[in-house]
Amino acid sequence: MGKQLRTELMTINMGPQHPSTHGVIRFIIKTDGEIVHECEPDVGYLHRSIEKIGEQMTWQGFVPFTDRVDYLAAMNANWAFCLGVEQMIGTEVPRRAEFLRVMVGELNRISSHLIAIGATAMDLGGFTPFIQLLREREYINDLLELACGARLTYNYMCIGGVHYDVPQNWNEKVAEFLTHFELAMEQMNRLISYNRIFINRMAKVGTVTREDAIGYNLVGPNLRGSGVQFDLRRNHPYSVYPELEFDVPYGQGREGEVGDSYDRYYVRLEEIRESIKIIRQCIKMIPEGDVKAKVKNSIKPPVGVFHSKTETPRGETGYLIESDGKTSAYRIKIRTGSFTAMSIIPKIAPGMFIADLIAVIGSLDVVAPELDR
Amino acid sequence: MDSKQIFEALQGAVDHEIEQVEDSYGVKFKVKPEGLFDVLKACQQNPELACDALTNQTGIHVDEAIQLYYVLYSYAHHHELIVNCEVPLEGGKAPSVVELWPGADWLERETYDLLGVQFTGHPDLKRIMLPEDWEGHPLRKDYVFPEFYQGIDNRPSEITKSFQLK
Repeated sequence: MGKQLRTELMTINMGPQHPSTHGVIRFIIKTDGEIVHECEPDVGYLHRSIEKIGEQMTWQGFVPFTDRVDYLAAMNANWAFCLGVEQMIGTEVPRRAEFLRVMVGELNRISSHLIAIGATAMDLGGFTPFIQLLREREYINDLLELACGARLTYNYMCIGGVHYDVPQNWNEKVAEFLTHFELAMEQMNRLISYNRIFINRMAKVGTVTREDAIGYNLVGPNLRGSGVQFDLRRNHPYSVYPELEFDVPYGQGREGEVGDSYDRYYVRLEEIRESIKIIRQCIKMIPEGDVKAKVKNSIKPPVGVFHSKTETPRGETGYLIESDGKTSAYRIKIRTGSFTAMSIIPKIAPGMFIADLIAVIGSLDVVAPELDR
Repeated sequence: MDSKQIFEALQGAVDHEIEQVEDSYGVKFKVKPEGLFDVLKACQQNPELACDALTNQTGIHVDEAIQLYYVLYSYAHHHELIVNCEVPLEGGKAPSVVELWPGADWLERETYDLLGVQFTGHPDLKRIMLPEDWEGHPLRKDYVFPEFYQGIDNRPSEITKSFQLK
């Protein structure tokens, strides 16, 4: 009676090669039985010194490297860098190119979110949704392949527009896909989104308050999941986004708490719907014309430091670029959504079950190459 | 708020010397390392500025110094401002801002790792991207790539050399 068993903390190592850490990330976890006491992410396994490479490349030559920053959303990663350089040299992108950029960007956003959603479900033990969503992603890959010839790292955008125009019946094919995809999404929703078992695993787990989200500088769906209605496409619009109608979904505590894993999951789901809406409008509005502005072969932006930002699937991607007026950048710093999303894990992990930690990592949608660069 | 109003609000809030530096892409506020913490604190806590997020933080090696850049953003007023601070290359020290923005933790670790700036008051300043026994700070301009790391040959092959810019 009243006898207390003294238990010791156990340090366990998760990763770097662990299927649920989404790439090569290592976690050092101190646990008391199943409860996490402390969790320290150890990152850097995929550090490829892309920023240093950028100092030795020409401005155009660096664009293919941005594909590798975030391979799940390579279009948006291209776009982030190209937009920055265009703003620096003051190039006007042709209107058709802007619409093409929005369309491929949103298609890529859908495919990236599909992986995020599917991988979350897979981490929680449901393998079927992942396979189903990968199947849908294949259709998007086919469409993007028609546009640019590549299926993963596209290098489609260039400084001043896009490399090639799309084939003649591409728009119809996209419209056809969207009709099919909406039905497939409903199927997927029945399978996981409204599934009680899935909801109970995600709801009230890994709650990030609004203050923490801003303090730790979460961006994109993770920030919006915590109830901040902020989207760069709406608040600081670029390209043709001001002309397009779409809502900015944000976390409303659908299953209990604002900012829990399910809210982040649901924001991604709604963003897919918004992307479908945007692409439908683009199909109606896209004009004929050139797809590439005339840009000099040797780009020499004026001297100075410039910070550009765009909304990629994993949130705001900021490029802090210093130019010294030469044909290559003096310094490029890439600030990505995964980096800050990972840095909040030591804060929210204590007190959680190990299995819930997996759900949280999945719902934060961390992509290792984007984290390490 | 435009940069002029921000500058006036900043000057009213702190009694450190703040210099406006304008380049082709807008105004940056340049402060001395000893005034950096107070200025950033004022940026966060002054109700007119209310920069509740530190979006980006990095350093740039220029000549014999490292230029630190802090990109701040206000979700209340939707404005962005860039604070610049120069620290010397060797033994450069800057105050840590982790207590203002917890997200600065990893950003400062990255700046320390790749550029070698010491942040005083940081709770756990260690390398983040590179292994802990790595020597040197690669994003400095005078960095020489090591030929060997723990017995691993790092020298570029002939094929790699043929692609490198001369």
